[in-house]
Amino acid sequence: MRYVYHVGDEVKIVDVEREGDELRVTVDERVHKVKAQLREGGVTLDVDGKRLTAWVADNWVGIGSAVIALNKADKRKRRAAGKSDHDMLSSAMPGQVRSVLVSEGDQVEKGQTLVLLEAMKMEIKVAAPHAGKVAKVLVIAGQVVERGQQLIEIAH
Amino acid sequence: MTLFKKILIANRGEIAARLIRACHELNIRAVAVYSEADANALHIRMADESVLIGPPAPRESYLDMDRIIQAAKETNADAIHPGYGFLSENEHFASAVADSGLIFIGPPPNAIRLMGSKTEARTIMQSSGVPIVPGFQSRGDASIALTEFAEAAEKIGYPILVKAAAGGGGKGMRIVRSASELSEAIAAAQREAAHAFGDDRVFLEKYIDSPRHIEFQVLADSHGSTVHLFERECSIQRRHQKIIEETPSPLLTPEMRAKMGEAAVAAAKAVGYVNAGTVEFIVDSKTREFYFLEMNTRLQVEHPITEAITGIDLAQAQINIAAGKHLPFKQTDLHQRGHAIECRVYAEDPANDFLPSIGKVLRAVEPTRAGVRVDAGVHTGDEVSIHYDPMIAKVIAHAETRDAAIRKMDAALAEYTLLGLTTNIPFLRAVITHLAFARGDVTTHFIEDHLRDWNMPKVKDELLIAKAVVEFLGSDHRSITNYQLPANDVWDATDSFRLGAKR
Repeated sequence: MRYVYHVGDEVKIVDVEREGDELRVTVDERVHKVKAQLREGGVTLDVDGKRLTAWVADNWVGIGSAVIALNKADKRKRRAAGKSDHDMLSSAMPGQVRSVLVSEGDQVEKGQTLVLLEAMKMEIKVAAPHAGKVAKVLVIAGQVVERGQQLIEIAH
Repeated sequence: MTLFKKILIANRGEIAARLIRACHELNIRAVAVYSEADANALHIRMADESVLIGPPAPRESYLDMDRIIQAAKETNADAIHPGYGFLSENEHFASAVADSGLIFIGPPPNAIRLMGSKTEARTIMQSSGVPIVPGFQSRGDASIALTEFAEAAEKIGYPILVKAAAGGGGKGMRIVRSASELSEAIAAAQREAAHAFGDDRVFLEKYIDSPRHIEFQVLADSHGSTVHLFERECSIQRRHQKIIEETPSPLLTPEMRAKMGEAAVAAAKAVGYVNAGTVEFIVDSKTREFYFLEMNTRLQVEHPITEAITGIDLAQAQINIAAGKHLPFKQTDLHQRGHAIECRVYAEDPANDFLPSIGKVLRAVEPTRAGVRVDAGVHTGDEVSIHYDPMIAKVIAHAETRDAAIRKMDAALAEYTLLGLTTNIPFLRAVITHLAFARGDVTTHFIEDHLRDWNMPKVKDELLIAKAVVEFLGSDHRSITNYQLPANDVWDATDSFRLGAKR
């Protein structure tokens, strides 16, 4: 069976096959001999003779403090970074929009604060990456936003 | 026996859990309060009783004094412990608690007021001979004209710090490197201060190069006895917030320790301090001069390392002092034993500017080792939301020597699994295993000096293997028995839990 995961911008391909009493697992062409036993919340592994306890929940997996979210390939639609004369500014963290300081049509300076976000008692500002015109404002004050959610579009 | 039968804990998260434990150890019942976002939180599960006090926003729940005092009345609590943050350094709350006939487990309102205003505190310290950092403070409550701030900043010399008069924990604090950044920094600091403390006053302070942050724990009873419980070095900070603390400080000589300890006791006495408090100093690593920074009139996040090396339970001491008991020890009875380190586990992404991460804790597996203590605010199934502080747990390691404590901490962190949100644990490990940290060479610039370009470690094959194997076996239960490990292994679980069976 082939499993394809996204880790950040990387794609990882993992092949799992039976081989006698064991599993043969290939990660990016590296072959590992694996024995495994499912347990509550995870799996106990013997990888090339090394014993490990891994915890798995939804798309998260952890071995001790090494923890990662592995996203399925098909779940993640990455739009190719095409050329555009518009810049979309998105939220770097989950939080709440504290205030929107510009309106559509406004001319803004490079570095000018456009939106104030707040989460966990911390305030961060979203600033204009370059001078330009505010093409779209996609959020309002008080709105809760996710990490990566689009906030403001700026035209060159 | 104390005179308290029941204490209301006006807080949430790990500190509420820790205080409930202290109550139970003293055979006192604990009442928890909670917002709608915390209906199922750990502190609610631990408390003997709990009271819903409002919506998630802190202003409408954990900062609602009247509602909290009402909850204490309704449940017949004798006293209120405020924890840290929220109402812990609010003199009006301390007064209101006393006025309602309850006992506030903390200092007298006047001591909170004097120390709570960083500006008043500076004045008092100056007149008590405790050294302070050069700065500029507001006269009176009126907001100061920007030009006056700008003139003062020029006189002190850039870089300067803009700080909230009522602040703490780095909130409302901004470094300003040139005059052009000043007005926006002041405005932002005022906004943050108003939001966090309900008080938008700010002041300016000289920004010291290579500073170390070293604080002293004090305990004072209501009978005039005041002692210090030595220092905590808190120099490892990100965004002006501490992430790693240790005691003893690798910097202090016995002479400096004695001098700073005396200054800390003098500072506490100058404001008629009672209960547990912390006097923070900034120490210039080059000149080794120390300056009074502020006094935190509450229990600190990092109190467990002091508990580890002194053997004194500070939360219990607070309750006993509030009950009118005498301190059962003198300064000469107190000694530092071994070395203790605390690492703060934050729900944040250290590879993305330490910005907060949120989510449900899908699995929490804490380290269990001799000499390791974990004070966690979340367990498996708990939510970390955008409403509250991202600090979700503290790991404390205690050993004979600093080196041994570092090794023990790294081993403990390596075992701590938290699934469902991004945490700073890999970053904490990078700090404590850094050579500069091993040398004790720490300043508040440590992270920008040594770990500015830190990134999450490369994904190990083992993680990918574990995930794929669980999916593979989960989709075919026949294989669960086929791939059993040898029976004499120590691995315990044998049930047929299936993960990834349906996605």
